[in-house]
Amino acid sequence: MAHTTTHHITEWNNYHFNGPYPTKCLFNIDTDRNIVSLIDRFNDSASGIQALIKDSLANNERFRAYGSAWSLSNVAHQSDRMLFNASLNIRLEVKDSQLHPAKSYLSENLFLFQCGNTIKEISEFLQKKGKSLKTCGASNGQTIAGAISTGVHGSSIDVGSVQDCVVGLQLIIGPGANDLIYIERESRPALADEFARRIKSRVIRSDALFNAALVSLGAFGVIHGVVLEAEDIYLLKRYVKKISKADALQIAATMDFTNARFKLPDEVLRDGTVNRPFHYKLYINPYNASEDFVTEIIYKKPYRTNYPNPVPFVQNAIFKDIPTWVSAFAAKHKRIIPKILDALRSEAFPKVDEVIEGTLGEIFWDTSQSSAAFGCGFGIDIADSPKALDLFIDLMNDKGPIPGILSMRFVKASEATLGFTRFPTTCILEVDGVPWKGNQNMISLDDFLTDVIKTFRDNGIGFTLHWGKNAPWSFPNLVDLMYGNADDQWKDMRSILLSKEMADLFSNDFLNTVRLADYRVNIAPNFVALRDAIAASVV
Amino acid sequence: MAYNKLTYRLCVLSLLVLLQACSYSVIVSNKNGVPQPDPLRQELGFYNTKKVRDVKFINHLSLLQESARVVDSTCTEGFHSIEYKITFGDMLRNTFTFGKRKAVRVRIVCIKPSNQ
Ligand SMILES: Cc1cc2nc3c(=O)[nH]c(=O)nc-3n(C[C@H](O)[C@H](O)[C@H](O)COP(=O)(O)OP(=O)(O)OC[C@H]3O[C@@H](n4cnc5c(N)ncnc54)[C@H](O)[C@@H]3O)c2cc1C
Repeated sequence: MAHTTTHHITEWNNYHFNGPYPTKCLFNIDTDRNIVSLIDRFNDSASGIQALIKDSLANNERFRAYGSAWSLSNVAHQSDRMLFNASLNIRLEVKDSQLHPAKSYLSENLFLFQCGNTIKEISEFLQKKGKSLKTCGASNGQTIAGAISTGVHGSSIDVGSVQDCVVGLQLIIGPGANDLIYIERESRPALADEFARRIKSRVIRSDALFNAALVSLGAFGVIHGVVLEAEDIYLLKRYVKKISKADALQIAATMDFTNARFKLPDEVLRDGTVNRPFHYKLYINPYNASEDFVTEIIYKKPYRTNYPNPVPFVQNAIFKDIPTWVSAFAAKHKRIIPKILDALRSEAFPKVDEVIEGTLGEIFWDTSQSSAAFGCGFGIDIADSPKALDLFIDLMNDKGPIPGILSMRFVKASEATLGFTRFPTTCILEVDGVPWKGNQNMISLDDFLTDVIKTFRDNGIGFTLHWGKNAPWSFPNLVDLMYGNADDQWKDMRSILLSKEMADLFSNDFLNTVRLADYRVNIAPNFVALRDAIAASVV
Repeated sequence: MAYNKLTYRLCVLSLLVLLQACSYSVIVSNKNGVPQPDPLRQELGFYNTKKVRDVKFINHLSLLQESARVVDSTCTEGFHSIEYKITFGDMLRNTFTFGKRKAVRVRIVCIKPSNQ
């Protein structure tokens, strides 16, 4: 049986110390390595989790799984019982015979990962098979379940976010024999029913349910297995250039590299056409916005083995570990913040004119930052990005200065119902920095971000917020403002899938704050048939 | 009197700074592999959320032995990182015993076990 260690604790914190939050109990679960068959070991872990859920129900305690605790918001926190699942890292290949008859995938590209596999583990595993993830964030420490649950993105302009590479999910929605479910899209089925039976799950094929469960904020039960689509391994060639603000934003607003004023000579073909990059990212010093933008442009290249090790040159955190006294000092003497940021520029920005090549896993390698930090990501339509950037910079100068640096990344829309990359191409306008305590001399982070939200709203700029980052989450009607009716559909799907008792068990303060915890007895009429079908399904 | 106290404090402070500067550590970390996690270890810096094992002892070398060796069997899938630390006291001990007593202070992080 899977081993669980129980720790009675009083508080819990996330990786970047945005808490602490009061917490009673932390379970640390590991697989039973004495079980030889990996499928049996996988199923045994699910039983172990179900036993914990059963006990939590019996004791009237809430329950929540979490991964690497890399979310800077309190989305992963649960004050009753938390399940740390990073040791659940089984990986399974998919055979041709296990594919759904109507599949549109190649079996060699599909893999089942247990929830606690980190992005780095997945990349290393796939590389041994000559495969690669299609995308990932700027670093690699998130677990796969944690990454998809908040919608982790990089800046892969034509690919999407991590959850957009998922083709199937195994969820644990309760303690009973019928409470393991395997869901996929009806429009793009991947695995045969027989495969689901091997992982003791009933099968539900529904686009609406699948898309809602993709970015689930931990609220659709425990994600135990994730079926990912990989692709053949490739190299990424990274250029870092300084581009004038006007030229950088011309591309940002359109993602049109063909007609852009800025061109990288090495990526212009003989006939004058240009290669389309895989990734485009801008680094911006908000206190000197007239200077050229440091721009990271990455192109996909065929894989080969003889390339120099890029790892010493990668930069996967805006700031490396900055002593906490720097932010305390900055909060007292805010006028010097721009000077501090200027001094830290070489730490914060990648080195200009450096060209490196590596796999996805190498270019987006380990983070160099493990101390207190804040980060906030606004999703906006690329067409609005130049205006949004100007408004943001004005606020940082007028209300601040605050100890943070800006960046912009660009991602194709996600199909996930609550994916914050919801615009056709979303620009993620991010501010990252060292946290400080607001005082009469200096605005707090929450108040500053509230001002940004109000400014965007008043200027007609539609926006979303990264679920796993800092934000004033209690801003009135925030989710409605960001998602229109999409959150209603998400709540309907959650209420269709979970019993009221289980929906409550998997809720937390974050869901209550953003008003996503409420259970719907009366769901939209077009989902009644789906609800009945789910209720009738058996393993 | 006040002057003496200040001088004394300054001397102690300088000594502390000197001792601090004389001790140093080096972390060698693996490009590959994921560190074994420890959800209860929360501290600023490199070891945040990593499971660490500290090995500390004084190695008495015989006349014929030239170097100290640490055999560790805790990492089933290899080392993620190894930090070797030397303090001012360790350096003195090494010097005054002609290299025959070496303090070993090593901090090990294992690679997270896989499920194969
Ligand atoms: C150094 C650093 C770099 C980052 N870089 C990026 C980046 O480039 N792009 C980006 O988009 N974000 C980035 N982030 C944010 C971070 O990647 C996300 O918040 C991500 O969700 C964290 O993954 P995790 O495994 O730590 O999950 P956690 O933070 O532990 O949990 C996130 C959510 O997933 C849920 N969850 C976790 N496991 C399960 C499970 N098994 N079943 C059900 N629910 C589960 C939790 O309940 C919670 O709601 C970064 C954060 C840090 C600290």
